[in-house]
Amino acid sequence: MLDIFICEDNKQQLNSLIKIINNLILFENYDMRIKVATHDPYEILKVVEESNYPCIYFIDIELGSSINGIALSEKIRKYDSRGFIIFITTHDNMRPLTFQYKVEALDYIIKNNIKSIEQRISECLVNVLEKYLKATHEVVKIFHIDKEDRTIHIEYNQMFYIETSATAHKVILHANDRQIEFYGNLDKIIKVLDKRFCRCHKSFIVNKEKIKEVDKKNRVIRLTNDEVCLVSRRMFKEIS
Amino acid sequence: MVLLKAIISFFIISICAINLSQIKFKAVKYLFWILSISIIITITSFLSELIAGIICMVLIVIMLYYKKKKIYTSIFYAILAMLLSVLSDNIVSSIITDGFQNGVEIKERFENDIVVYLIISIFILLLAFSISKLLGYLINRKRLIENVTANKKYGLILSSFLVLTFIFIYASVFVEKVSNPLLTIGIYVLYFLVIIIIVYFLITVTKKENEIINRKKELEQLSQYTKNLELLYIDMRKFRHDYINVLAALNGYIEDDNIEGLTEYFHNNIIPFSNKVIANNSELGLLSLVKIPEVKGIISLKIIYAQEKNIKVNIEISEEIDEINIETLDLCRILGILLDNAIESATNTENAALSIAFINNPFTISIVIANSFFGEIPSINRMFTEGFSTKGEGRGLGLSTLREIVNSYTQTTLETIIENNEFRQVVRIRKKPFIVQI
Repeated sequence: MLDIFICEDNKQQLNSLIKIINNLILFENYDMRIKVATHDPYEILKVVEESNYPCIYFIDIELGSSINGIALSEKIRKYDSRGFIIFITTHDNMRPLTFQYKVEALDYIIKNNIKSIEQRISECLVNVLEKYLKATHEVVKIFHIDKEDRTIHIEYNQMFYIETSATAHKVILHANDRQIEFYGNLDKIIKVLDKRFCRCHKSFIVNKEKIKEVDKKNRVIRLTNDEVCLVSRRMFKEIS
Repeated sequence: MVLLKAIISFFIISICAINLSQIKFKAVKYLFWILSISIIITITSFLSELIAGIICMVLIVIMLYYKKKKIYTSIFYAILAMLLSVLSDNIVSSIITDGFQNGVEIKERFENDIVVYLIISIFILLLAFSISKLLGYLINRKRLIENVTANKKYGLILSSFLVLTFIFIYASVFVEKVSNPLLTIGIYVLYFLVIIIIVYFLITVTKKENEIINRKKELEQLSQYTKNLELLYIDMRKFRHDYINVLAALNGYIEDDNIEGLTEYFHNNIIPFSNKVIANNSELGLLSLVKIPEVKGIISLKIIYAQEKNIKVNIEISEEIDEINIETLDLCRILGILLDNAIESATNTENAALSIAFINNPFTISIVIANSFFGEIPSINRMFTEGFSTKGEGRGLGLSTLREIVNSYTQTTLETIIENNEFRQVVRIRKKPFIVQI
């Protein structure tokens, strides 16, 4: 059962949100329920403190309170680091990058007309459910880092290799469509990862499923995306 | 004999000096200078050769100053001329001693025989003359020395360096005669110490100069920013004016109870007008939250540039940004590279868009720059290789430079993401340097 929290200061809009979400749950037979729907962000915080995580949050940006939606989400994140936050905002307050990088919001919905809001809420709930099932049933394994104000989720089968950066204590993760630098060391990371990963060199961890060929002469591994990893002499046998 | 020697060596040096500085003397005046100075030198050279040499230098400086009226330039030319004459003297005498079988013998006679002395002196003169003519041409063609010495600091550094070299050469000649190894070493050490000091000064002076140049740039960017704010203000006033007109028109329709006209007016005038209001976003206003003037400057400049290229710019800054924990110059370089690349690749795309966000989290400040792109994007890894560019050859230094700057700090990390037809880069800067937890 996923709990849903709604925070919206306009009473009319709050009521229509409740109606839309309840209808969706009923029609699609989702395993969810609205736990709190209020105009007061502090009420949300009170309940969030003792809830089953993760939860779903629909939050308006302008709350007419001493804190706004983003600040509320920051506080929520302290309890529920993997919750699904969806902002509801007017065009003027739309700041997609801030939503994503400040509080890791899942999505945002622009308030213009009721029809499109309904459509978007439905999309968001589908998305939430998909992500939630993936995470709980471990169909797909996910590399997860949550440190200070940085979280990284990435599927194992998207990862190509991890290498140490030119500066100490930093490593770079090379994945399908992204390259992410973060603080860490390969010794610790290899312990977290599963068997498909191999420490092929003192400064490389490679995903064995992504190897295209092993170049013995130059002692490198060529990956399916044409990138190249170094291999130490010792690890040659294990790879080939 | 002594008089002759003095006259000849002074003659050579002065010819060099005149060639180098490319000043013109009348023959009579020149003769007067030569004669009067030579006599002074001859008298002093009876006392000490060392003093005679120094006086010779001083007199040439005076001679040049008399014409040029610039002290550093005169010192520079005089000493360069002296060095040249010593150089050609050495070249000629070494050719004689090494080139001829009885070279040493000739050299001995050179000291005493007037005829041989004169012949050799002519050779020296010819050599010195041609070198100085060439050098003078090179130096004066671009007004090099005048430009350098126009700045008092550089003039001082340059001439003190040359004076030092002059003293060094004189001292080493003098020391050779005394032949005290300790003294020789002492002089060398002193020479190098002083050179190190001079180089140090040179570096600090250039550093200051660079700072001034940067400040100037900053100021230009800021003034551009103010100009744009003013434009924004004018836009606002226009809007107010339009707004009042619209209200007046509405009032007119209502008073006439003309609902049909009102409907038509609403659809034809007010809806397009309100669309215009939404589109006309005052993105620049948000920059007031950035409290670092250099950053404000560079961002406003790039935004304006992007808007000129019809790129829709979206800026997100929700909190004040007053401190970012890396050198401002590096920060500006990072922003410059990221924004230039983003603008370049967003141009000519459908719905061209550029987003800039500053996000203040408890431990880090993140700078996110995202842009739309068109066509295939090459592998991210290749993008960071030096010399790689989608824009053709010789332009691919941006991202590899960015990588270098990010690597030079422990508190910065870089992230590159391609998602939903958007190319996005995130630079995260920790508020405190990274410390390893054990």
